[in-house]
Amino acid sequence: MSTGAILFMTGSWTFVLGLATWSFYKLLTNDKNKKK
Amino acid sequence: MSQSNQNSGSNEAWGSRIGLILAMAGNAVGLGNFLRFPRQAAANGGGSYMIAYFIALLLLGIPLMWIEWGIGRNGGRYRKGHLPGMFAAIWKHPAAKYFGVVGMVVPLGVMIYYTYIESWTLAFAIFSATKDYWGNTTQETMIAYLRSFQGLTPAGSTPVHASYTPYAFFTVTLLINIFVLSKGISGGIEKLAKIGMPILFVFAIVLAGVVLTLPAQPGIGTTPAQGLNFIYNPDLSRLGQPGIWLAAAGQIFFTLSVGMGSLQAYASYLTTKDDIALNGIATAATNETAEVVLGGSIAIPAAVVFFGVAGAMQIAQGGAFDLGFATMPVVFQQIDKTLPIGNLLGVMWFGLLFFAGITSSVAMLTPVTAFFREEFGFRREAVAWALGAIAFVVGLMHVHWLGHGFLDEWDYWVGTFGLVLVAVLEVVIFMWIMKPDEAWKSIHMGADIQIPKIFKFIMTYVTPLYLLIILTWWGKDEAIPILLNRRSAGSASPVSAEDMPFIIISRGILVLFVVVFLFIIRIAWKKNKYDDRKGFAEVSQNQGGM
Repeated sequence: MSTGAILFMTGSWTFVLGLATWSFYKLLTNDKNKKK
Repeated sequence: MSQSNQNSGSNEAWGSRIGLILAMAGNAVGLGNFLRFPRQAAANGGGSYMIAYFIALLLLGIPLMWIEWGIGRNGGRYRKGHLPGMFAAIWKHPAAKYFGVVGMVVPLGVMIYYTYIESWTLAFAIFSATKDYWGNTTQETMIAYLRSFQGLTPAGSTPVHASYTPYAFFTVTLLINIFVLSKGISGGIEKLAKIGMPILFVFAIVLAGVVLTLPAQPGIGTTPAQGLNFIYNPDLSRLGQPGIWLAAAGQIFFTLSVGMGSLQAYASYLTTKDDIALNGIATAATNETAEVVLGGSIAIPAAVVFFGVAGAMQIAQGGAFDLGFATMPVVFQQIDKTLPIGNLLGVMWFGLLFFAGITSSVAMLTPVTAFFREEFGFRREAVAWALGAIAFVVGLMHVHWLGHGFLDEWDYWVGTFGLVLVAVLEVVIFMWIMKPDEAWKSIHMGADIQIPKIFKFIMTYVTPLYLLIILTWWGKDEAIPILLNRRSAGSASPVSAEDMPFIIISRGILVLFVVVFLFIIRIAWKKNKYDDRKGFAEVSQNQGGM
């Protein structure tokens, strides 16, 4: 893989997986959710 | 408020928050994530496309997600799970409800042909299990096999399948859809999502794992990494081409299922105590994980391993369906030579496409179902089966006239242009007519997160401008030439004289849908004695939510 491709893939995956991890962490640790 | 609570309506609600998110993500994750995205990325400059894609996600996709959740939940306050009611709830003008007709025709129209394509995935899952296509080991013979299944075998050649095969699979797929829909939000759609989405992700992870660890093949020598390189290698010179930006924006619409009316219908079953800000971003993130991480790691890398970079490029140019339904079966047969699980991988591939498809198609019928239940008090089962009957009749035309551009015509007008049209209307009504401050406040009711304030500016000015540019560009480059038959919806060539009658019938049915729905909306408003200038009476918030 070219350096450019590695950079773009790493950036894309980090952004998407980071957003998913953050949003599900917030969902699971949310007080409103815990009560249910 | 003197009126509007006379409709019997529906008292449906989501069973759990995770069920809601899975159903919303199921609505968004569809065939486009695994077929359309990798093909588009590969064909549009790789890394450059990804730049345009993420900008479209931030300026169009995520803002529209929040806007649609906001419109939907606001409609739910008045028990309106359909766009005519949702628009009328915000814009106290007699025209508002009629603009909502696009939110009825678009999802119903897309659902009909989408279910037909979904039926191919069910058929090919079974063909994989029974090794029916085994022996078709080249791209050419698999394409001939696919065309035979679609009833498009050229004259003089012998078809592999009985002529009734595509009709039978379409019927079964539609029956499954209608059955799920008839069971309601919590008992049907949520249950399907809770079963289908985990299976989909497990299948996709296994397939991506198998594909990304494939060794280079003798005589070809390319690796899965070169496949990823094919998708992500940046060709920055192409960033100046408007085509890349339009393709990326179109993919964002398609993949997030925005502009469809289904997200709004799902959100209408929430109360103002429920969060939509975090739910919206979690849904988008789940969809993007399925698309960028998993969708990009299966079909194109597999094609590169077995066909080389040039071969994969040629396949990508041939379209998403040839990639998914012809190339992938060849790949599974090749893998089977060294790892005898080729047919199992086939079942997983087409199984994941089927679950991706069905969790989207059931969502598409939700707005129209909600309309007839809420405005006329019809039973859910009766509405579901009646809509199923309409979908069956029109769907048969799609099956029968696939080769005459019937499906391509609908895919363009409702599945492409229609989505942007819905989005333009809802952004204007929610952000401009409701006013940005009210809209922002509405989205943050019950919110678990504070959305960065920059998005208020984006939703108010940037998203509508972006949408108008897309609509204008597509209008000039595609809509007008297609309408004037200078080119067909499926290709750049003009519509042939032979296909013209089918194109006219195709457009005629869409126009009929619009006219009939406008008429039914008028009847509903008269029947329920709604006063357009006063709006609807708010229903008890205890009746919905999670």
